[in-house]
Amino acid sequence: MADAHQHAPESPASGGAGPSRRDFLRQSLRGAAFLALGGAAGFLASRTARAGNIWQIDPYLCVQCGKCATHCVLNPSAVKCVHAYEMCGYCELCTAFFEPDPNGLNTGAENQLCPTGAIVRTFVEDPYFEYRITEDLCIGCAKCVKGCTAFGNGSMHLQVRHDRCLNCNECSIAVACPAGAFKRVPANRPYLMKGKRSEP
Amino acid sequence: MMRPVPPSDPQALRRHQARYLLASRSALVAGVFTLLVAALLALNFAQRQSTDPLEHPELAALKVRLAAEPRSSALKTQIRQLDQELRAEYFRYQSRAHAGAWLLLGGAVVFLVSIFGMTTLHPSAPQPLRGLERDARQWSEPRRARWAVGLLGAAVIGGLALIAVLVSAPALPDSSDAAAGAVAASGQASPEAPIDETAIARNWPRFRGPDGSGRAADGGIPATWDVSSGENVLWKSPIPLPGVGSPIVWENLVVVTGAEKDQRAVYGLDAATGKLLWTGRGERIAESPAEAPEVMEDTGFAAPTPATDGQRVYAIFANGDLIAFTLKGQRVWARALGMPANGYGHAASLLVWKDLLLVPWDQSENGRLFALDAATGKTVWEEPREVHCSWTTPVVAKLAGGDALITAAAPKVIAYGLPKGEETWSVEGLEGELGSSPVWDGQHVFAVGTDSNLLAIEPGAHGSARVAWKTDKDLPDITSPLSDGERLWLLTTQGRVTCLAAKDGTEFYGQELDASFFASPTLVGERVLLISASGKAFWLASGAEYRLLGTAEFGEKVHASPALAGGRLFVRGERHLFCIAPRGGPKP
Repeated sequence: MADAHQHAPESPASGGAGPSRRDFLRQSLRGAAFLALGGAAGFLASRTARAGNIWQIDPYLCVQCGKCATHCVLNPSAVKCVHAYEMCGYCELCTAFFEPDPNGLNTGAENQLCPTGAIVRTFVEDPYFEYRITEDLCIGCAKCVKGCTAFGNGSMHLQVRHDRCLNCNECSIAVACPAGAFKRVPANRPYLMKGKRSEP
Repeated sequence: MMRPVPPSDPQALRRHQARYLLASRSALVAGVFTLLVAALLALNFAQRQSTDPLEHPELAALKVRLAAEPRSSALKTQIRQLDQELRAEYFRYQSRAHAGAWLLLGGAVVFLVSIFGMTTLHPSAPQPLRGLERDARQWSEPRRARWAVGLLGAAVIGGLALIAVLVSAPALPDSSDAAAGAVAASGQASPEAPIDETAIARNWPRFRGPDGSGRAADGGIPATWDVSSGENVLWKSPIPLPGVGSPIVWENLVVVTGAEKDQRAVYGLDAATGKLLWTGRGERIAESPAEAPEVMEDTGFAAPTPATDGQRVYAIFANGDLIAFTLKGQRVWARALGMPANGYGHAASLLVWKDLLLVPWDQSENGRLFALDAATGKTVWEEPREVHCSWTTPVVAKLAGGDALITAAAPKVIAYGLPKGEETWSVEGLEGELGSSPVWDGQHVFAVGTDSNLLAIEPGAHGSARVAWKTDKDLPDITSPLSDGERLWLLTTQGRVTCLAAKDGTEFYGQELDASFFASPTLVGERVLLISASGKAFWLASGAEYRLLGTAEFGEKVHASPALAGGRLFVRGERHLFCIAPRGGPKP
């Protein structure tokens, strides 16, 4: 280091005369202008960049094959049943909740379609009942969706829940989906839900 | 990476060595822990693959049955209980898998960090390689690397193959009609291996053991046990459906049956652990009687003991439905013999002789003895039985003229030659509706006519037989006699045990036990085991004098006779199947 120091060229400051005040102001103004330009460009770029795409199920293409429950890399699957309440008929005989030709219209296990008991049936007023999905119990098997779609008005449907989904580059359910119902959707609009005011 | 040179300062060197020791031990513990967790996870996965709680066939079958009997509250209760158990099992699996994954990750991280520490702190200083050594290593290192990759690859392939084998062998079989039909339609089961006589002798393939005499080697069976603390109780498993048929054992499989008015099942359990391996359903048999038979409460719907030949398991129920399963629980064939005509429900047990399944069918009218092809269930021959109704199970006696099937029903004991079933000889002298099965001790056939006599019959050399002696005292009506060739034990339902000389009936002793009995006595080496209806076991010395060696309790009713094999005692109680063996498993 001693040799390098000895052979370093002298800086202008090391001469006797420095830059004038006008030069200093001009260079400062130029620098500030470049900084402002760069910031504006970065801001605009960030606002106009395309959002990333993520996987979602188109409920109108879904055929309720059951593969969402078995092909997800997560166990239980990141696919859950969601309920569009504004579409629901609040039926006493809900074909998403009850087995076909149920023994009785009560919550006995012999009558329930859901294998994990994930649907809670609550009396509202005669003759209406509310059906709510307990997400922690739902495994995405689509049995309720099938019942609701076949004999009801299809208010229950499947969605990929993005608080659980790992967003694999190649979604293994999408590969297995026989109906091509898995789509890439913008990450800032991650759900394809039925109804207008439905809550997942 | 350069390894640090060990410090020359002794104190610093000791610190260095301590750190190295800490790292190496941490690596060892973390490595073992990680492997253990991985193994448990693999086991958990394999169990989940073999039985999916959410697709359990038993639940589906129950729902089908409920559709046929929509008002059965018992069925609804059963469905709800099973559904809850299955869902709980499913979420337990999930919980175990998640916890295991985190533990595995934690263990792996600690292991890697420790290995890194070990490598960094390795006390030996690096040495420059000499020329020849360097040259040698240039060749040996790639060779070792190839071997390492090869061995690792082989280990991975082997591990995957092992997992594939483990997960592709479902413990619960497909007992559906489709599967049954597929096997039955082919008209034959898997290629038959010749029946191994030594295997029959070391197992317990029918009611009262290999020859129906209720005799077993001692096998180190403990005389005492404690069901509540688990002392000498290897396992205790619940049996879903009730039954008083005895267990049978084939190698590592224990089989019992259970039935109610409208459902029938055969259960295969792991003899070592008591785990239920499979459930063979006994419903959906063509021409099965539409109505359930009238049975005594103590007899129930699953009183006959099943039988096995090491190829298949055969079971018959109170309604005359007969069914065969593979040893893995797959239905092979089934047929309905028709509603039995007897007042207590069919209770005689099955037995197998070579490739014939022998079915005693003594009824109040049209009684017969069936010999069926064990592989297909088709009738090979049947003999009409001109006898009263009975619940006795025949035995096969090895007589001078060949094997003979010895049956007992009032009014006579009849011997049928095997394999053709022709009547060889008969001896009259029995009265009543017999429940006590005959035994053969190598010299005498002992048959009990509840309302008349015990006959000690001596078969002759040329198709004849004579009554060597008889007695009408202290005769059992349900339990069967026990003979070791020298002594004969009789046990009445009311609890009187009598010991007679087998050769002439001289009474050695008679003793009242404060208990009632349905299970037949069993000879366990030099001890006689009696199990009362309340579940109390009495151990007697097998000598000519009465000597009580000890007692032990099962804590629930026992009507079935015990089974012994592989140094284990299997006893079917009212709700459980018990396995009694010394702590740490049976002695070799």
